[in-house]
Amino acid sequence: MRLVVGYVSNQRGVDAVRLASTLAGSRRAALDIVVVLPLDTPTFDMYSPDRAYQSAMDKQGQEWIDEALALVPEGVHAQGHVVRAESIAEGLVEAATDPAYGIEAHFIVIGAAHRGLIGRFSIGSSAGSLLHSSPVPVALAPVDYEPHPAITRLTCATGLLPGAEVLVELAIGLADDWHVPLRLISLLAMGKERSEDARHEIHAIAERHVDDLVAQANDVLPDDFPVTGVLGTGRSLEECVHALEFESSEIVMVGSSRLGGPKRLFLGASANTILHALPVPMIVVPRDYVIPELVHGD
Amino acid sequence: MPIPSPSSGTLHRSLGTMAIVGLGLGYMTPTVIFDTFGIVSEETNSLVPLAYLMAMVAMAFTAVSYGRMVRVFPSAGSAYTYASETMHPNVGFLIGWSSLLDYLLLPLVNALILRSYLEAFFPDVPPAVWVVLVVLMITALVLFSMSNTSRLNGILVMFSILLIVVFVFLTWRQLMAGEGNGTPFSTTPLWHEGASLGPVITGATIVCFSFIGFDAITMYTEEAKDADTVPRAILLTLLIGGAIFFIAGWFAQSVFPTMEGFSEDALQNSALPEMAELIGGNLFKAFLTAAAFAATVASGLASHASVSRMLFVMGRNGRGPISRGLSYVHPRFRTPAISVIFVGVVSLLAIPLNLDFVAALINFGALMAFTFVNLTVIVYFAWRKKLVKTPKEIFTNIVLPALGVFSTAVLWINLSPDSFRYGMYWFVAGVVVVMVLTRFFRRPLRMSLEEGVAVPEPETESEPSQPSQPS
Repeated sequence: MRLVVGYVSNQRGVDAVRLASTLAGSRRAALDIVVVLPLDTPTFDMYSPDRAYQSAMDKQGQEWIDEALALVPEGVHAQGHVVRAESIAEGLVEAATDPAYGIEAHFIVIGAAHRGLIGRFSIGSSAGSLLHSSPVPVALAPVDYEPHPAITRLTCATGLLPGAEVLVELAIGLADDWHVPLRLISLLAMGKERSEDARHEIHAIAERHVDDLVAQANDVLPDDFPVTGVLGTGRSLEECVHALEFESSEIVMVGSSRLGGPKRLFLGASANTILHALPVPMIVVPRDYVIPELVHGD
Repeated sequence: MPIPSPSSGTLHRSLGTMAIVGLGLGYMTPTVIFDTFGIVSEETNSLVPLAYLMAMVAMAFTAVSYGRMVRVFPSAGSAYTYASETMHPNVGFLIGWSSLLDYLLLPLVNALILRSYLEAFFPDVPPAVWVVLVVLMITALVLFSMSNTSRLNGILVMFSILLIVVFVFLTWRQLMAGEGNGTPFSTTPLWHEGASLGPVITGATIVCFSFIGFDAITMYTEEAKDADTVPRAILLTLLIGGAIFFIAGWFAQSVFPTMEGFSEDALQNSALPEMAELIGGNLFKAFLTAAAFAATVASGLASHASVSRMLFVMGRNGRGPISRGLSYVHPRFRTPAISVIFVGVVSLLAIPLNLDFVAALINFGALMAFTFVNLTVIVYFAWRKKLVKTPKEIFTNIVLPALGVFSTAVLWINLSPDSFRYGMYWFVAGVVVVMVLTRFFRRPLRMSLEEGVAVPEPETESEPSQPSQPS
């Protein structure tokens, strides 16, 4: 598995490397730690010592890479790249998809912004544009993420509306690949506006949905593979998330849009809400993502 | 489609002569003639065009010398590199040190000019407010790495030149209507009763400021189509820019034989808004000021970014807490944040200072650098290469650069006493810095502002990070 890690020289970068190392612990994975620097187009500025500036910037980038590599635990394979791009998001996508760097990355790993006042996740501008443009899944590390030897459980959060097929398929494949228990959850947020009967009806539909998901997973996975299904309910999505328990070493997967909500940008309203309420790392999977062979393979 | 290699360093472009000339004119910001017009007209007793002519002739020799040195050091492009390589690294450092003053003052000059424009439109607001606002805006834009205005610059230059043409046309009409000298064909802008050469030379030292920038195109050597492009472009930029300045100066001086009726601010800072108003009314004033404003902001962004880049490079080469601060790169903006803010703080000096003083101070460093570029031609070609065998070689390798040395030196020593004195303070400070860095010339200077240019650096026995022990 190939992980592209977006490193910036602050807590966010540290969180990203720690999450990537944890992910790599689950499965033999190669970390490509990427520092994105601004394009070195000649600025045509008066008197600008452009050449010296760019080479000093390259050295600074390399120092950041070294800083990041020092955070990677023993035994995890990692290498660093200084990439030049218009924006951080663009540089990470390029490093993830450009064949010059190798096979397409399975995840881009980044840290959430540090300044969030409420919740663990707050999306910085570069993470924001990445979540709305990346063609590969993006793994987000919560602030001050503690590294773990490996991921111990994979939770896949879906809603009732269709469109989560790719997400569920990827979750099943990854759980298989990582040999970790799979928890399939359906989130059902119900306001008070509905009648008692309607609520019961939807509840029944949601329970069936969870059972279907579990059955789907059991079809693919070996017989004794631990798969559980949970229905998370509450008045709001936040409540649904808070009602569930999370292990600090687990990771949650969500779809990019249409997660029980209307179709928005890549990061849907619901995914965004979940993200703010979640205490553990999460992976956002693009809706039309084509799952690469390698997840199942090696 | 070629796959961009992950570590590709420089971009390869092929710029033709006219493309480079266009860039050079962009640096010169042609509307600057109107900014300094009031100052120079007062100084020279109304001989602005002559002052430009003199400055241009002096610059022309220097342009030829730049053209020669560009072929020798195609990857460098600065007076201090030429001096370091052909004379001595310590000499190069002092030239670089003088240039550093220029670089630090350039963003300040732009803030000053912008202050003048805004003052002309909003006379009731205290000017310090404008300086703070302008400096904050430019500093923020550079900090968030939005300083690349190269695409915009071309349009701004064309627009400025167009407005200068309109200015000449409007002035022509006024002259024909009997304003000013009453004719565009009087020779009074070149010489008249009561004029004397000394003040004109001092005026020329001020207008040199308008030409600063033509030498910046030496850095396109590697992007240029062939080896002749840049030397040709330097000279062409100078001649075209000089022609624009001369013609605009001629018409302006014809219609304003004296600066009577102009405000105090127009005579100390920018005269542009008032001149535009007198020539073309409020609409033209708005247009010309807007064009000049945009060009000045673009130039301010470029110079602010450049200077902070230079401080950053120096910081990375140096040691100690100041160097560490200057070489700090903000992790998210990926710009040298502390250097950028430092340049912004220096720019706040636009509150107490005046354009005439700062322009002269900038010329101190620039003229010194120009003098040394001419000298390096003599040192390199005539002395080191011994290319003095034919009369032609003697002419191009000694006579021509010597004329350059002479003309720039004449301008240099004729700087206004104030700016010469402050320039000298800075220079002496530079000498002290060299003495400290070299431990009284016992240790070679380890400082290169341009990567990729081999600065000979013999192995030193002593550990550089330790202070040297008195022996």
